[in-house]
Amino acid sequence: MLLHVDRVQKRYGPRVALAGVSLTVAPGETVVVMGPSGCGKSTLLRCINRLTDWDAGEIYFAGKPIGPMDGAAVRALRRQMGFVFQHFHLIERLTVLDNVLLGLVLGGMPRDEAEERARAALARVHLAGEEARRPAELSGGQRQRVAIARALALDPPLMLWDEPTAALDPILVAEVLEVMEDLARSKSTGMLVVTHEVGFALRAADRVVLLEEGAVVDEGPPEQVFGRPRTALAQRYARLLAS
Amino acid sequence: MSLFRDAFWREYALVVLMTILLGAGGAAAGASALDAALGDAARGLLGEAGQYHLIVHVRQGYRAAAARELERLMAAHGPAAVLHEGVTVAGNANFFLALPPEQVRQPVLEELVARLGEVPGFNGYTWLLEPSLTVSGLRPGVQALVAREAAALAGVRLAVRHGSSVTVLLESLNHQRPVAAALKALVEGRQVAEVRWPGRGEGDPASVVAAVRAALGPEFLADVTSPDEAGETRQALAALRDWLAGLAARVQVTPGPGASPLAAGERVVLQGPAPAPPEPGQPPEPQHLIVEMAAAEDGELVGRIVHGDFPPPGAEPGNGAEGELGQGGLGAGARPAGTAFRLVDGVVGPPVGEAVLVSPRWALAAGGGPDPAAGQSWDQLVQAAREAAEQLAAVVDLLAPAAASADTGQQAQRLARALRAGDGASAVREALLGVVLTALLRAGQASGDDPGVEPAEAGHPAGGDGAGDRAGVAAQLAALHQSLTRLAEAAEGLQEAAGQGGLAAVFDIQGRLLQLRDDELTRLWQAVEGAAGGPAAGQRVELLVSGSVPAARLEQVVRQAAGEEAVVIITAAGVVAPSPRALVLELLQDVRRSVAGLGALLAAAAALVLDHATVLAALGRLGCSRRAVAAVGAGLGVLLLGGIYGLSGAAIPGAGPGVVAAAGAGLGVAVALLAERLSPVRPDEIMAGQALGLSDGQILREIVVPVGRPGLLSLVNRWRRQFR
Repeated sequence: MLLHVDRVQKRYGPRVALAGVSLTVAPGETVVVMGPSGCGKSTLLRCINRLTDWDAGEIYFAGKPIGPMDGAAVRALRRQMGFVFQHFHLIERLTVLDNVLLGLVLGGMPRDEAEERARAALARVHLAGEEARRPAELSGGQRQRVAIARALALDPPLMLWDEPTAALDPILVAEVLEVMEDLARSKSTGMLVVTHEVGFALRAADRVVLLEEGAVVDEGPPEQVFGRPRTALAQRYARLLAS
Repeated sequence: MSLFRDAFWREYALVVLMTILLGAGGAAAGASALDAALGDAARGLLGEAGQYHLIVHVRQGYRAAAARELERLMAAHGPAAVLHEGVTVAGNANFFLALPPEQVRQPVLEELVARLGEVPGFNGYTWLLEPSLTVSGLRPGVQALVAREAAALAGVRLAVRHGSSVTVLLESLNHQRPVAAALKALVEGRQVAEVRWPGRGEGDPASVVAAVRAALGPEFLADVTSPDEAGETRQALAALRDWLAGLAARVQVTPGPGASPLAAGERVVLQGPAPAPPEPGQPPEPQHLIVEMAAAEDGELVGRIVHGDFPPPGAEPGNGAEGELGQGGLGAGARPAGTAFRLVDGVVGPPVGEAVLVSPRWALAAGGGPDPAAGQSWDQLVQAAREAAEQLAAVVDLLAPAAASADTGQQAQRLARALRAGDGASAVREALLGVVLTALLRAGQASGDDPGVEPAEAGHPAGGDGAGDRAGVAAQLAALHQSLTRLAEAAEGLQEAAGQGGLAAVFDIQGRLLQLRDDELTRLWQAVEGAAGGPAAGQRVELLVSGSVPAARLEQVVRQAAGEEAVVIITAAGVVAPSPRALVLELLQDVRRSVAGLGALLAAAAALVLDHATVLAALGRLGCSRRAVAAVGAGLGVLLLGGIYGLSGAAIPGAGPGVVAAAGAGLGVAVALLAERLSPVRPDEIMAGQALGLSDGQILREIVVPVGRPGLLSLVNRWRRQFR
């Protein structure tokens, strides 16, 4: 198993963000996590990336617990997990190419090799020829694709997606989803995607995990979860899909 | 130390070090520049060290005349003597004097300053002898001793006395420390016991000296009492004080039945010129008299008017009939003054008795002389002047009745002016000669003869024939001469008693006395008493004693010898101080250190805001707690301010290492708490860097610092940054 989240709990003061969440992601598998706002989806991704510490439970990556890791080990772990944020989180002062190169070069890859890989990643998200532009000169969809390229360039076994289309207008959502679906189909990397895009889940996910109030309330293939909804939350998503 | 495995943090430490060094250099350079500028100003003011020997301060308006007189003075010292006019400061023109090297000797220097009194507008002088030390605060007797002893010290070229100080010129700067130590031993190892007796003629200095010498043995060093000018001045002032005390109105209160007796220091209220007497329970009216009681020498209480004026006889309401001087057998100038009320907390209290006012001033104005303390010389002078005036009037009536009053008035004014000019008896004679010559001239005009050819004879009235007139004029003039000569002798006697210049002062005082209010007269008397050295302004003795004798013991021994009524004052023999230039340079050094301190504060604050606020703000986004960031800020502040402050040689008065450290910590904490406002960072970019697996140092170097405020850190950071 590439990722195993085992009964992870997290509180922010009195508020329970994660109430013993467990899930797995196999290599090349696409798992979509869905749930209402504030149910703990983003917190779960940050715990997996060690951007946030959790209170109880454990997370295993490639069979190793990541809780005890510190310093260089955590940084190495992060380089194996591409992270795509809702608001892109591009470095505004750097060009598109430098944004993609940043993790590679500072991770120790020779500049030439890194540049070759960065250009390939940009081509994969249909941004070839935009290398010299700066984020401020791009549309939202392009900026998110740069962020995807930056994560992809690391060639990570797992990619974490934190509502990658939530900050985009509907026209631009499609171009990002297209890239994501391509990636999912390629099975080149495991994907844990937090999104509200039911259509994407149905089309691209291997499994769907429904999260409500910090707990997993349903889990299974999208056809099962949305086709024979067992929970109120699943029913709402099913109705949304039907409309 | 694992932190410093990251190149960024090593460079950060380097930046902190460079900030300290550059900040210290900048603060020191700024302060030194100011120091140099101030030093130039000081040199402009004082000349180069050793270039001049003396600054003479002259009132600005007399500059040209003073320059001429100083040139004349310096010319006597040969062509090598230098006179240079410096800047004018605070209304004083400053002349710099330098003597030829061979003339820089004690007698020459002391004679030079003794003659500075001749310089028009002279307003003091300052020695610029260098290298030098000054011993100040010396009693006259000790001054001579210290000057002698200092001149004998190794490394001392000469010692000059001035004011209450001795300035010691050294052979070289190398002797400054040992000579300063020796001078300190000279003055700080000794103390002076001064004894004063309250009244003139009291005390026996010789027996006190003998008793103290016997009691202290070898610890008694010398009798340094000096019969100096200051002593004479004090005696003259004491005489004036006693004279004024005799003229000031006095109040005697006879206690009423059942009234508690008054004590020294208490105040009573009298009706005075007010329309109504004081009313108990109310504050005194402005016209009421307020009298302060004091213990007199005979033990009885005597009051002095401290507020209000004793009205002229007959002027006060309701007292007209009783207002005659000497009424009721009280003596000249004494009058009943009604009921005295005790003054309690600024309010009129209960009656304490009946008051009698004695005003010798009004008695004097009325022609009486009630108080022997006012002085026999004065009485003689008044009497002589009166006779002279009568004689003069007779002469003028004889010669020119129509012009009599005006001319007599002019002559009287001329005489008064001459007297007030302070020329003493010679001035009186000069003025009288003018009167006589005028009288002769008028006699000659009246007779048609040359006034100087034939002497007149006495006994003939004016307006008769020529021979008879001349005889009458001669007789009148002879009488006039006699009267005026007596007047001159009286004035001369008074002048001798009061000292040079005293006569004019006495006449001034006489003129003003009759215009003074009683409370003003009391204040004048108190002021003169203060100038005379307080109540104890009579005999005086000064004893030089070893500093090893405890002050309390010394006072006990001296008091035992001098009696309880004597005032005993124990003081240090003197104080050693650097030369004026050294003082100025020391002051400039203090300014330089303070400026360096302020520079250090500015440099540390600038570094914290420009460089470290960025890092502190980023640390908060990299997972450090707010408290940890504040602690880092405090540490940085202490390091930066302490380092810069220490290395720049800064020293702000009152700011020791603890204060500086606290200020640095406070500054650092403030910057840490305001870091995000001072240097905003983008948390999303920092998070992106973390998600990419970058270290904190890499995030700071590539993401945070490049967009932070420009400073030394951003400059150093450019060297190793990979993404431009």
